[in-house]
Amino acid sequence: MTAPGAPRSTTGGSAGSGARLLVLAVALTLAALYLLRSPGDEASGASIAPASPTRLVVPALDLRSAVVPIEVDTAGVLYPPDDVDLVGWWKRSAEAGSRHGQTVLTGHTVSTGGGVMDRLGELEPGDRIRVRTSEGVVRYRATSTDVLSRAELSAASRELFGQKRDPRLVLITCTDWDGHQYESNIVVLADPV
Amino acid sequence: MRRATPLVGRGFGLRLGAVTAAVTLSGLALAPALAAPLAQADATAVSGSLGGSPTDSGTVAAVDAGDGEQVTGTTNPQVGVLGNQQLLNVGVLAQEATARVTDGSGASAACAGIAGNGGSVAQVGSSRCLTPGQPVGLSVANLDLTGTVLFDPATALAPLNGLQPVMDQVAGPLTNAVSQGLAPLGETGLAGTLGAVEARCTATPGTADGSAHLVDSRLSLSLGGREVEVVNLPVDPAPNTDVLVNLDGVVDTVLAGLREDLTTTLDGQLAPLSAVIDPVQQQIVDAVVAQVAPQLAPLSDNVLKLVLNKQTRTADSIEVTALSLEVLPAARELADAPLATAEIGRVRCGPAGVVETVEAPTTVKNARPQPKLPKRPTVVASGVAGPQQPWYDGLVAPAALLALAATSGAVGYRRLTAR
Repeated sequence: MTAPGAPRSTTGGSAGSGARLLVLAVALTLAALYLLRSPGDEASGASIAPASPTRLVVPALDLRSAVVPIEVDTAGVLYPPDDVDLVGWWKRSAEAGSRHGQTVLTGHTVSTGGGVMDRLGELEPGDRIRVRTSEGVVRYRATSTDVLSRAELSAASRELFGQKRDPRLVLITCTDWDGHQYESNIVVLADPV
Repeated sequence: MRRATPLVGRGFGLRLGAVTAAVTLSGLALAPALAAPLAQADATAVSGSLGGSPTDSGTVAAVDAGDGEQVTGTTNPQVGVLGNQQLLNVGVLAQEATARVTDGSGASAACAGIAGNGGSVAQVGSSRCLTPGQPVGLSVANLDLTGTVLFDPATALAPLNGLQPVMDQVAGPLTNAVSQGLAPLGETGLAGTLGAVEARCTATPGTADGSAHLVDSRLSLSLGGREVEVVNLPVDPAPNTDVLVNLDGVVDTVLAGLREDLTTTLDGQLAPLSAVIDPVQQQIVDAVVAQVAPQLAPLSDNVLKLVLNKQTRTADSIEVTALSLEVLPAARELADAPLATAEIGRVRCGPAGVVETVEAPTTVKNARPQPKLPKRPTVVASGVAGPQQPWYDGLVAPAALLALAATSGAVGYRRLTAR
């Protein structure tokens, strides 16, 4: 035992000094990494130029996926990319970073699992979402997660897909698989941070 | 069903509109053929104004607006069409023009000019449209130099009026005699011979070209029976060749005639005193000539203006006049002044065009507009059914565990009972 206030042994002092040096080195490394990070990582939705989304990251869902542009068909149906690992960006919706309009992203849910947005319904208000573009990263925070029937979604199409409003991110996938078809959609809304 | 009806009506309207557009565009494709000429040219063998009386050989013009060549005018008029004139004796007049549209592209050519007797007209578009004959006489103008007051002060020949006060001052009473002595100079003619003079031109879309060709052509001035050659005309003159007429010889001839006639007149008047006054007479003649000579100088600038291969062109058209002649050009503005103009061989070609090919829709299907996409999605189909699972899927693991537990239980039971 060493009495309180007694000097530490030499050996013990060397070990403590080494630990402090290690902590300092780690701190300096982190600081260097912070300073050397790419400008796009720092950019926020309010400061970067609008551009097409290229990647979606939702840490709470462990979702990291490439984003490709998609378009509705003549019947008004929006299909995600065939590849269930990809997320689609409706190309007539707002670009990420735009000062107006909604950025609409959708991905598949697979009834047996494996879809990029299988877990979208787990997202809670406050969860962070990042959308990367060629101009940088636009950050969002989820504000709501709702389940809408197909009829409800159709009725709310202006609210969800209209572009005459403040910037917002809309994430959509399907849910309520009844063994034959999906009866509803999960809709997550998020505001830029 | 209620919604289907207007959709069918709208589709029919679209098709009807497309058919109408197709018919309209087809009409437009044919329209250029009925509008501006695609090829045009005209030719005039001779035109001019002699003593204020215009005369010409007429003009032949060819036009093709895509519906075939249309030619108006006489192609090879007789010299008689020039009326009672002294410009040309006899000869052959040629004026030809052609305009055609071939493979949708317009092209025109023209040729005009004169040839001497025995000459003939070749095919337009050939290298030459006239075959030269015997040179034809050309009498451009006759100037009246008789009379005491010789020239109108307003004309280019006014300097000759300076002779009168000189006569009054120097010779006094001999004035009348001197005036009479000038009489032989009174008939002055500008004449010439022309073997052949022709102008040619061609035009195709975006281009036009032309040239002039002269054979055995010269101009001369006759003064009191003396023939002074003014100029030999070049065979293939460059565009807009201003011919420098050598009037020094004309002036010399005038002065020589004046000197001779003065001397003769004075000899007649002063014959009894010839031995005494010969030196004085010489002085008088010298003085008169010295006074007159400088005043003849303006003749060089004002008697004759001659331009060969006169060309006026734009980017896609050209006008060529083989020989353009003006006598006493300084008197142009005087209606009653001696004035003669002549243009021999004038042609115009172009502009030429191409048939506008408006792509008419080949089928109504091509004219149908692309279906318009909805303004926004109304359905998001983002669910996929997973692969079909067998009936036992989900039961395998529990069954295996159950089997494993049963096996373990059986083994343990055996060991316990064996002890």
